[in-house]
Amino acid sequence: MKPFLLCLLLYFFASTSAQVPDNFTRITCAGEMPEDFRTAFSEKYKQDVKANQNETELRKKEVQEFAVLTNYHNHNLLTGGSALYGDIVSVYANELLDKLLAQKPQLREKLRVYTIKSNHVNAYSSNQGIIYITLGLVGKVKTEAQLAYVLAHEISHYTNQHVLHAFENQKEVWSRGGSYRDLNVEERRLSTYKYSRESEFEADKEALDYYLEAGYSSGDIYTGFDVLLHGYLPIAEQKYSWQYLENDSLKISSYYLIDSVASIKDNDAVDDELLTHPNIHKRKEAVTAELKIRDSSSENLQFVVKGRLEFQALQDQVHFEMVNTFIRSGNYVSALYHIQVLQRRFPDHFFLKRMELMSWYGMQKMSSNLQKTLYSTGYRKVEGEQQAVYYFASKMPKRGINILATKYIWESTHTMAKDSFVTTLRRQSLTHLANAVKKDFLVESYTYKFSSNVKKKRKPKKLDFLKIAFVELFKDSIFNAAYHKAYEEVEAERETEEEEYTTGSNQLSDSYVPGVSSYYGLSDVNKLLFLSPKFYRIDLRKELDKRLIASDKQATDLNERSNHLSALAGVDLISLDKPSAADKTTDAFNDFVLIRDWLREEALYEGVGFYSYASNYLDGIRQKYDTDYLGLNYVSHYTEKNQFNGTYFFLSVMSLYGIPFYLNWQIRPLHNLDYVFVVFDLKKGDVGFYDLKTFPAKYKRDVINSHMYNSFNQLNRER
Amino acid sequence: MLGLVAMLSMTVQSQKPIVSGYLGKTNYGMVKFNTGLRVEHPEKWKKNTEVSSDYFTGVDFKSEFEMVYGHIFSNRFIVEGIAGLNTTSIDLNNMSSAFSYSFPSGFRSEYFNYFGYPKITDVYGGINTKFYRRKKGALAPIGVYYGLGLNFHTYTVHLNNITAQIRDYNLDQIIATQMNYGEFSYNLVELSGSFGATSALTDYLLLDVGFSVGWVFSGSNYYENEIPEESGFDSGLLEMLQLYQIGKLKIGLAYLF
Repeated sequence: MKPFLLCLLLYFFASTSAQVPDNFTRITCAGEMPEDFRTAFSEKYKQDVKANQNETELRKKEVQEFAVLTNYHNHNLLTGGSALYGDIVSVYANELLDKLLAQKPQLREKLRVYTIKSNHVNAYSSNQGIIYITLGLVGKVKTEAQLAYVLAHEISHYTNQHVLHAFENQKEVWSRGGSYRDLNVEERRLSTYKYSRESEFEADKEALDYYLEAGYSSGDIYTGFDVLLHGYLPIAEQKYSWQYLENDSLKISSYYLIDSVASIKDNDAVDDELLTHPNIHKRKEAVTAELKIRDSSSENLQFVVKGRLEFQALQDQVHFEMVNTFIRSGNYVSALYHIQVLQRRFPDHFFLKRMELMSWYGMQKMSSNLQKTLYSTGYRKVEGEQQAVYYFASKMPKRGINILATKYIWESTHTMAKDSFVTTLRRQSLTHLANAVKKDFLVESYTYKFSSNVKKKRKPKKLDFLKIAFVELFKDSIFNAAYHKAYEEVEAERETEEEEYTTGSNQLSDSYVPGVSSYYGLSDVNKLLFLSPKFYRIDLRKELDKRLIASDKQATDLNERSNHLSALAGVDLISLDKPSAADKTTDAFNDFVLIRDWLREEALYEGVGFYSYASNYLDGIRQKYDTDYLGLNYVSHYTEKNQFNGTYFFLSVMSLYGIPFYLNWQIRPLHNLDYVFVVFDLKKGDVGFYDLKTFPAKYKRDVINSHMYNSFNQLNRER
Repeated sequence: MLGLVAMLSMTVQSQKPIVSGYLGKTNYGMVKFNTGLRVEHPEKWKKNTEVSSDYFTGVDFKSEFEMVYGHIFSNRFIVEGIAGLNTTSIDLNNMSSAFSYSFPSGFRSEYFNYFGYPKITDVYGGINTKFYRRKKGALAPIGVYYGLGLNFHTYTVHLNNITAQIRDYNLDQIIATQMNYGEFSYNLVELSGSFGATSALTDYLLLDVGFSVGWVFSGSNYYENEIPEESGFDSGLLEMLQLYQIGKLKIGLAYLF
């Protein structure tokens, strides 16, 4: 073979390997930021009010309400970091729109698709021409045609203005007069559901126009409906194996293994009276009836824009992102199941391995925190093979999770010991273990005798089968040393805590103020990544649209002030998510999304030293922006009417003189103001500074100014 | 996020915060206008000196100005130095305890029914402390507060050109005559309590609106310079000044630096 041919082969070999990279690349935004992401909420709803005024018979007030509600929802999705643009999924979905609307260029111009980072199977369209699809949908459809039909369905919702008409219908149904006046509340509610189902039928029907014209297979409409029916299932059915936890001596007790998993329900004809969508059976029937009266000379294609292999490559990336999303949301059981499914195609994949370690670490962390854990939610409602993992996690006690997690994390990372991520997991898992399991529980040799004759369905006494879990690990001197050190450290920490408790040395030096909690652990921060401050006006006396407008107005003001106040305190703010700015960049937005993902993962554990997977990306952020700190701030002002108090009323009437006081108390609304300012130390991955305040007071601009400046000032008090 | 907040609230830690003031400014100078209903203290003393009570209905509004320097010592505590020069008056006709004194019978004549509105100047200074209510969201100098004050007043009563009625028993008639007793100074101490709220108009200007309740009581010199004819004047004056100081609405405009 000629050398250059060999080189060429090697090149192609390398290229094909790169299609399934050993590491994982997050799905992120790309290209120029669309207007939807740049425009301020206030501009959006005002534009919509103008646009909708001539489109509907709604009153002016209702037109504004509709514009505000729909745009606020959109705006939050788009700017909150949940939606992606220009990413591989959005680009693909937009290409599908190109295909579906090839004959309708004017309509095509009005529509755009963005991806929602969610594992749920869903898609929806807005009155503004935005179609959202979830990663879960893209990850679970089997063919491009199935996805195309969903998109065609959403296009029909847009062209028929179903969102606007649903709003009109709501207003009509719940109005005092009109044709619905004789109906009771329940009947009115059912009427809105019925209206919604009729819209869905209409969208299904009209979707066929776009779908068949693009040449897609009519058969895939039915299989696509099945995907929607089973949207709650994992990406594939595969028996879960626990072998990776076992060795020659240690076998998982059968008590923790489910005998047989619940079969997958296939009922597509559920009662849909209380549903917004018709049942799948009816939808299939309606489509069948529609197809009969149409020209069936379609090309019957399953893949048009991408070929089957390209589609699968895209789905692989989506599946990996789904695993990442499971981890980020603390759903470790689903993560473990999906990882094993993916490992069948990608054995020894570096990212999947890390995710598997992270799942066990997360389960261990959650069990150590004595919280109601996500992973141990009931297994009974789970269907299919995934139920085995839910069953195991539900039955296994906290100590068992701790032992198995530590065992797996240490045993499976011999070759990864220099990886800082692995090192951290190893150390932390041992600390959790030392906190949760008494040292004498685990034996160091096989000489320990325990009853192996555990009867089926009888809980093994004290998890005896796990006593020998570490026997092999104890042969490793590194583990041995780390294990004993962890127990010593935990013991020392307990003694210190006891000492502090008895001497009171950990008490507050400042006097206690109700509603105020501050921790000023940082003092020399002069540069800060800062998420745009949020303001929530929750005035229960007013309609929702009024509250949202007020919230947005105050948030905009708060944003401007945060820059002014931080400058006064000598803190340089770097904002990644300005609410509306011409200079917003995709690069900064991606960083914002990353930080938001990290915060969400951190929030699961409420900042108690959890090592989130997303924190692996923080080093890059720190270096890029040359700061170790991330700040966030929000203010909420809650108001409600004072509830009638019979006792106060009675006492005031009895005393007569008390009536003015009672009336004053009764008439005045209740206010509550929350102020939150938190700074994270990205290097440590923990909270370094916070100001949390809640007051029974109204919102006042200068009061918040004062608190915000104080927060910045304390943060940089060593300047 | 709420979960995160709830967790953070549980963590008990503390560090000594520095004083932030308002946007970094921890001193202010303030001009204060004090007002309130005034009973038996007519404001019109300059215009009306005749022996008549017709023009004064008994109710008027106080108007005082004072200068304040404030320093913010912590995020909840402020100390103010106060200096003021105030002019007011009293309605002698209402000072019954002092000027309705009746001489024993047998005297040839007696003074009674003094009329007039002698001017009183009040030079005062003191300190006022303000405690900002942090549980109500206040952060000194912004928000609601309550305060305690200690003021030292020097009241000078100008008892000139006042009219007294003299009953002459010999002539059996009443004669009005002008009396000039001169000026009498009294040093009084005032303790006050106040509550109010401060808000920011701009980054440099504060508006302080509060209500204070004060109580003056005798200090030095008291009872040492009595009006010769009326030994009850001092105590009568004290009662009137106590009534005067008892409640004031205070509006201040402060410049921060």
